[in-house]
Amino acid sequence: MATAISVEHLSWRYEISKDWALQDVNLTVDEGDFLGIVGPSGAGKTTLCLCLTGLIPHMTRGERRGKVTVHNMDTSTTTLREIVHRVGIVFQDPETQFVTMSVEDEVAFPMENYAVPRETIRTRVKEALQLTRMQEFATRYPYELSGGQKQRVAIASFLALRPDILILDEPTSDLDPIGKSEVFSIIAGLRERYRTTLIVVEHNTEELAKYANRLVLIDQGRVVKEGSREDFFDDVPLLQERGVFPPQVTEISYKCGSKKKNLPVTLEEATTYFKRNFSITEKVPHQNSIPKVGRVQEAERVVEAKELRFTYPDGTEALKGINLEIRKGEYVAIIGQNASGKTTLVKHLVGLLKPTRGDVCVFGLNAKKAHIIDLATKIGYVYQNPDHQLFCQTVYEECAYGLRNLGVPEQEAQPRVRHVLKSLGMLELEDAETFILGKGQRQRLAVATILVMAPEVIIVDEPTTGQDMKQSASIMNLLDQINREGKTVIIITHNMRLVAEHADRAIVMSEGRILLDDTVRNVFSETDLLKKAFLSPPQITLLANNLSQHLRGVLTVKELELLLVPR
Amino acid sequence: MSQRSMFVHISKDSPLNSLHPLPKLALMLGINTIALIIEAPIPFLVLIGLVLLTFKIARVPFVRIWRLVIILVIVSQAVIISYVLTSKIPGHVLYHFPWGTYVSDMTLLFSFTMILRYLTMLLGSTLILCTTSDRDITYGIVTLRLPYALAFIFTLAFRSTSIFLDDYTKVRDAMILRGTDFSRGSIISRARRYTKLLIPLIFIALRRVVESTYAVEAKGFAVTGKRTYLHKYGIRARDLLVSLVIILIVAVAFALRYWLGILTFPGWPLNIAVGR
Repeated sequence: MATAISVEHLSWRYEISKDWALQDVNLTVDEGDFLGIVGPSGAGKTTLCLCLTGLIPHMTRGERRGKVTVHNMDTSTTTLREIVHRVGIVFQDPETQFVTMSVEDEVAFPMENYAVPRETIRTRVKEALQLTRMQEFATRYPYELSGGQKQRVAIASFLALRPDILILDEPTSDLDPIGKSEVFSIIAGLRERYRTTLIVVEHNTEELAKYANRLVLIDQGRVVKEGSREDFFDDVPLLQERGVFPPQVTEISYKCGSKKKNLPVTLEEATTYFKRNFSITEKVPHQNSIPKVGRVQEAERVVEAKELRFTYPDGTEALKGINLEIRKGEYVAIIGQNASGKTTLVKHLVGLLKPTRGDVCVFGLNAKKAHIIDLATKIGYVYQNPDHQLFCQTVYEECAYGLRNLGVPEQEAQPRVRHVLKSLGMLELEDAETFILGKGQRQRLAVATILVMAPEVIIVDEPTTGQDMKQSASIMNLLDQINREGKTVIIITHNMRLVAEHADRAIVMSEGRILLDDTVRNVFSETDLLKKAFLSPPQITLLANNLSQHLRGVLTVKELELLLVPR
Repeated sequence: MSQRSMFVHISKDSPLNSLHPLPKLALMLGINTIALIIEAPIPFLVLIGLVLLTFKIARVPFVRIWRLVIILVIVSQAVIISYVLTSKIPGHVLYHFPWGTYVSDMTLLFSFTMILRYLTMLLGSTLILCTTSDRDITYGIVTLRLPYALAFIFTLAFRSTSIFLDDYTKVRDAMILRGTDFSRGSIISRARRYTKLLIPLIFIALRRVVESTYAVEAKGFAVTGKRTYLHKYGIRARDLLVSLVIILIVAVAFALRYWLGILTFPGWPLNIAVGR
């Protein structure tokens, strides 16, 4: 098979950095390959993608060693325009890639740049939109689409140019589970139809394991492990140590079985493997886990929404009669597809939006009438993107900012700030400049800025988006600890594994309404209803369901491990 | 079916939307030129009525007009203060200032007329921006044989503005949630609070610039060189006719003001009443 990409001893250091982002990387990608790239945050995955498209070194300053060849073109000597004609790249945030104001114009734009004849552009726009199932949105404004639709438009815009190689850098990190699957099935379809070589950077290994034929683990700028789909995931401890979540089915196979080679990596493979090699204990599943929802039934009501409706000025009806009660000490996950109303709902709880109709009460205060600052002391909101929430020079100043606004004297503020920083493992960074922190640290700092104000309820929007396993665990452990201290925690997330492992109650939203509101276990048993909300239970729950009706409602690898016995 | 314009969604089959970008740009220039020519309140009211009628015909939601009220109030304050304090317009004098100027009934009428002028210009520009997409602007510029890169920069700037405003709202909300009260304190302390907004906004904007540059380059954009277009914008007889009518109306307005004096303050029909 012909070689599509060849990377030889590639090292790269950004002009502004002392450290090498890539170190002696060697990699070969054959034509028609689907290569998955995994690794912790800051490992150099995006830098590698930029090198493969020629954006490094053509658009970025730094020091380069080694050689990258794409279809026999040396990326350092070939013009960028020539390279990108054959190599497309879709970035994590589709919005920053949009340059026009309609979907069809967006798809046509690269072809217009290469002076493709108008009739051909028309045909290919239609075809690309059909392939990405976006044809009915051709005249829509791209910014008004859901996250998954935006990403499909971004893919379509490169697809229409028919590149030989398509690179996708974390294309599904902001998408709901069904949206993720759709993007993967579409790009896998490209490979089948056009033999497009695909390179996908992803934290979600479950989808990669389904479609990729080769995988690479990158850490600290080096290729740590490379292998075929069949053997790449065998070394589960190595992956976990390097901040990568292996597929849950692989993790349980590793933990339960004597088999240490060619572990199952997809749901189908695992179902066959476990049915053949394991029996199920007579134990009642999850008998030791008492849902906390039961324990807090009598606790104080901290949030209450009655017939809450909200319509945006453009006429979009975002909330259509929400009735909700959250009590002190609960750990609630609000889940649902992109644009289902989750963020709009929590913005009402913190007072950023006022209901069009209905009422919201927070600790008995009517959020419609209460001053937003009065609410801020009771309920804190951590944004999805920490960049929107950090505006002071140093870590200490950032944490002290809210306290100063509330009139807390410095002698009281200082120990409070230090206590929170210490609990987050950031005390040594208190004098560090905010904008030099890594993404994981910035996310933790954003949580700290809210925690320091000691709210009774903390809402965290997508706490782990784009974070590796270690960073995710650090943030979630912190939220667990806060909840154990008796505070109410509300998370908005697309990560169902997170919901299963941490929350007690799940509220499923769909098209501005609450579709389901129950314990996480019960919610994840309603697979058909979840599908309506573009959600899917975690892979381990699906595996348990496939194995036996008796195992319905299993939420974690640990729970299932206790119920399986080797034959 | 609707289409996103620069400001809002409007019906795609709206008569104004279906025009070629050139007559639309001509209409915007025409309304603003006529507003600068006219100096008389009653013709202004007639013109505003016509513009509002065009809003209706073009199916532009009137909600857009309400958003202009704040701008108009600010402009009106400035107009009234400047004319009342500094002008000497003959008429029935109501008050003499120690520095030699005075306020007459005509000062107030002239101030009102100037407010109508700004209102007309705001309405006219809003009307066009509500019925013009970035694509229209691009093709308008290309039709004028100006470089495509100019049109592209315009589109990117407009797009970046809306993203910047979105970021601004998010950062401001985050500050409010941490106890910042932007409405409290002296102007200096308020300004200081707003400067804090700049730090994350600049940081985010820089990151976005890098990402957008990568995206544009990755899509093969070149400042020079041949390119093709998905849409074909041909100038039809109707577009030429509309453009000609606009030019004609501007010429007539010019004649009415400078030859016949009908549109010179106080203008028809008030000039008959005051005997000017």
